[in-house]
Amino acid sequence: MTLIEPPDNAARQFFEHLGQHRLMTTRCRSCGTLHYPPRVWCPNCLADDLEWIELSGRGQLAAFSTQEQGLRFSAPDVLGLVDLEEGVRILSLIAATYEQLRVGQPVSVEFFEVQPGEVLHRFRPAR
Amino acid sequence: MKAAVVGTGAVACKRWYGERTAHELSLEVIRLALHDAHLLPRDIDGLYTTQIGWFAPQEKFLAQRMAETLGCRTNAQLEAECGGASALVAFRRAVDDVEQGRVNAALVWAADVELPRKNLDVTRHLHIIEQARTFYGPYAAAYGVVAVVALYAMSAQAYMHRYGLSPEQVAGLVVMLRGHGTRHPLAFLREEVTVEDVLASRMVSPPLHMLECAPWCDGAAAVVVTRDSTGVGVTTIAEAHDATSFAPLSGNMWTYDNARRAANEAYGKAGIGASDIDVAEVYGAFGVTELQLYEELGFARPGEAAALVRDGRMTYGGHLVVNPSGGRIAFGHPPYATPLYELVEVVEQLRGRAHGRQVQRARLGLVHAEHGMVNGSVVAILNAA
Repeated sequence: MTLIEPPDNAARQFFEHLGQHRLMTTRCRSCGTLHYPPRVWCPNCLADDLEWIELSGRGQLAAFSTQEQGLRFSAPDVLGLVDLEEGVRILSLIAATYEQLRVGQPVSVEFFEVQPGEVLHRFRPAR
Repeated sequence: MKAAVVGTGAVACKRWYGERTAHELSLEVIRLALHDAHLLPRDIDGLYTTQIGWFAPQEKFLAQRMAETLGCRTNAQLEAECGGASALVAFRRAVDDVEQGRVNAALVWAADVELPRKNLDVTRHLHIIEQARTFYGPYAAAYGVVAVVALYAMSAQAYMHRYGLSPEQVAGLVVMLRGHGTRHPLAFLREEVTVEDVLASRMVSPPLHMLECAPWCDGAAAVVVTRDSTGVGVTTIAEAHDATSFAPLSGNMWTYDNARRAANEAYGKAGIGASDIDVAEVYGAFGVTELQLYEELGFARPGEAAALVRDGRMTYGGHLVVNPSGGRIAFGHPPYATPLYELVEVVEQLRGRAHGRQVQRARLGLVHAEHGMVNGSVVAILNAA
């Protein structure tokens, strides 16, 4: 099964960057606001002069659970919300069992190929 | 002049499995509400409704088709779309139109058919999958997110972690709600359960067990709104929405600011406080979520909702009675119809007609509905005639 059609060019480029194993988002060159998810223009100042910057991929697990009805991965897959060092929060797959995790745990990003040509991010407890 | 609810209609909340269509359910509750209001279709000059289900194919012209079926010439019509809060948004527009004199008698109804047949194989219904994937946007869809439970579960986990609450403590709410459900003739689940039953039920998305999840159902409800001062008065309605869609990508994970903002605006406009409310229907799709909402609505201090439930302060004989219908967890949850079921319950309580489950001396009632993963809330306050 393929992704839904990205609704805008920012989403399209986000997934293209994942293909190069880079977790990237937009930052406004005019006012400096960092966005996540990436935007096509800056909601803070209306400027459309945005740059793509690479996120550290390091953060803390704000919360996590499992989904038993997920369509892509073998159930139960562990989902989490990760607060990145840059101050943005990202929904991702967590490469660990539910029992191995705790709230506030440091995690870092890695990349994996779901199917030929499609790469996604996931987070793993930091060593 | 203030608007008032002068008629209600509702059918049993259950899994009809295609036995009844949304149109049939709509006609049944509309007839009940008109009969209750002592009005005929030709008296209705405003029609307000919602979509007919989360996964139903989207339909157009629902209000206009009903105008033809009923023979109503109207001055206003609306098909509101705001997820689970849609029906309360539709009600708010009806109240506005009636109070401004644009409409004299407004009919608000919602029918929700989620389970068109038994053993539905969703993989054979691609529109359902496509729609579900689109709801959550490209960043969640990439991970196969097609249900909201894991997102609510993460907020529940953060809340329990923040306040050190155990699974036993939060399960007490389900026991209370299932007890309420035994008294309501239209409720889907009408058997009591124990804390042990809750904790022994299947873990759906930790920390949420099956019995802590509102069961999906079909259902329908309707109300009639006029300026008749003998009806249940609509004191005020407020709404607030956060800058989030499903997963909260900003702010903390354990509070729902929109519910607090909507409630505070409503209390302010009504000149009352949360402690003045006698009966409330709260849109708690999951057990822990409902506890979180009690705190946002001002019924409990942060982290203390589970203790108040344990001490019997949220049921008969307590500070107020919350979800005398059994709430979403016992009454059942057809999301588009749910806010009107809540409204009908509060109206019947304020009319003193909730036989077998009447809240004594109920003068002020509150109805809360939310959409998404509590990304926005609508709060209505109603007063006895």
